[in-house]
Amino acid sequence: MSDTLVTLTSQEGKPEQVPRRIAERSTLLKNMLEDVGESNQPIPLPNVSHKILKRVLEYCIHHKDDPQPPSDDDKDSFDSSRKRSDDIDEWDQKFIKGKEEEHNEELFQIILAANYLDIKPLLDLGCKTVANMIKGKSPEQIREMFNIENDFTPEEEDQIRRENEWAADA
Amino acid sequence: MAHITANSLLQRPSPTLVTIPRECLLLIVERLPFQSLLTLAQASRYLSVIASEPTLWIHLSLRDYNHDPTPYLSTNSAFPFKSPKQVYLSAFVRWAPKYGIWQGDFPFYEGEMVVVRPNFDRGEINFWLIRGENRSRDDEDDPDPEAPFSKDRNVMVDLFDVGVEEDEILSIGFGIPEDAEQDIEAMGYRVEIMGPTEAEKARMTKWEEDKRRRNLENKGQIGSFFICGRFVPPHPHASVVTLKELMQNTENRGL
Repeated sequence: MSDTLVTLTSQEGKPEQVPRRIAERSTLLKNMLEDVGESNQPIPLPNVSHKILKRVLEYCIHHKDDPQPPSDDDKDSFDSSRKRSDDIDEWDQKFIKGKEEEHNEELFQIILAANYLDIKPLLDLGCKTVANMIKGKSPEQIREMFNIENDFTPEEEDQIRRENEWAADA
Repeated sequence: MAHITANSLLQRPSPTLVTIPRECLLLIVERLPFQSLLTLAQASRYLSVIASEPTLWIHLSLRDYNHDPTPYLSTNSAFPFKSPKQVYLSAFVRWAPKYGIWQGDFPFYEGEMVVVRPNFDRGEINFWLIRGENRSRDDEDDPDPEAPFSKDRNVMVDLFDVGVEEDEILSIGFGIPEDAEQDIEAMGYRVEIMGPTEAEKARMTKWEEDKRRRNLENKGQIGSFFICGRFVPPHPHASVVTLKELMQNTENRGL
């Protein structure tokens, strides 16, 4: 039963076949498959490009034997696991890094796909990675890294700096 | 299912930090240490709005200090804080790790139990000296009619009547300075240290007398329980700080 193949169709309309067990790492697909029952109908994923779908499936295959993440009701254990952003598994770290030149672009696409497909551990990994990139950077470095325009007037910038000053004397 | 052509989608600009949905961005920023949020707020208007989200600072307060900032807001208490962010930066960062029970090592409070907790009615953080007293002790100077059994040395069963006394020894007040009223977001605060009251001065004298008497009679403690060992504060990251260090820190900052 869990060995049956499921066909996922990416944004470009390209089909991708995966074992049902792998597809079920995604809560969205899991619920869908449970609702539909036995069916050979391909599942369209218009929000996910083929390239990102392949990456997401790579993650799901590697983590196919992980226990399912706790549900939302079990908030406590989940919260404590995502409290810290410095404890990333080695394989995950390598995976999320991807190819250097398209790292940034792909990273946010993976976050969006994980959010859409509802794959909590992958969403978690993506968010942790971005958080780690922001940590310890100056406002200017953050703008540069994520291509953000400084839309403050000089007065506003001055004010916002004063409001957010933190004397590290504690 | 609406059919979307591949081309129109492929031309969409790739997502970045500021174009991903708000809920995804919040998932990212809620993992940051508060210092990084303060820097992030200075990058752009949109990010400054995100980094000041009340829900975000409530999350941070619970994550870092296990305290809900809502009861501290000026609408709910005498504290002057307008936002969870102010509560976090002005009250929690400095004082929440010190909530709980401590063992004093400051003259006059040495070895005694001090409780630190917020006072919402007064908008202060108070330090209380907690003293337990065995009222049933056999003490000629302090006869206790409530403890008849213990008076008789021949009676083996002793009535152990414990009383608990609380004395306020220090209170930290927060105020937004008047000249910064328009700039109400400014995180300015001042710390007021109340000197000892007359009652406390009297107590200090008594403490010295007690100590002298203790040494003379070599009888151990008289009257009050002395607390041995250190008390672990409720916050896991809190260092064990003594009242002496605390008072010195406050003075050094010139607050």
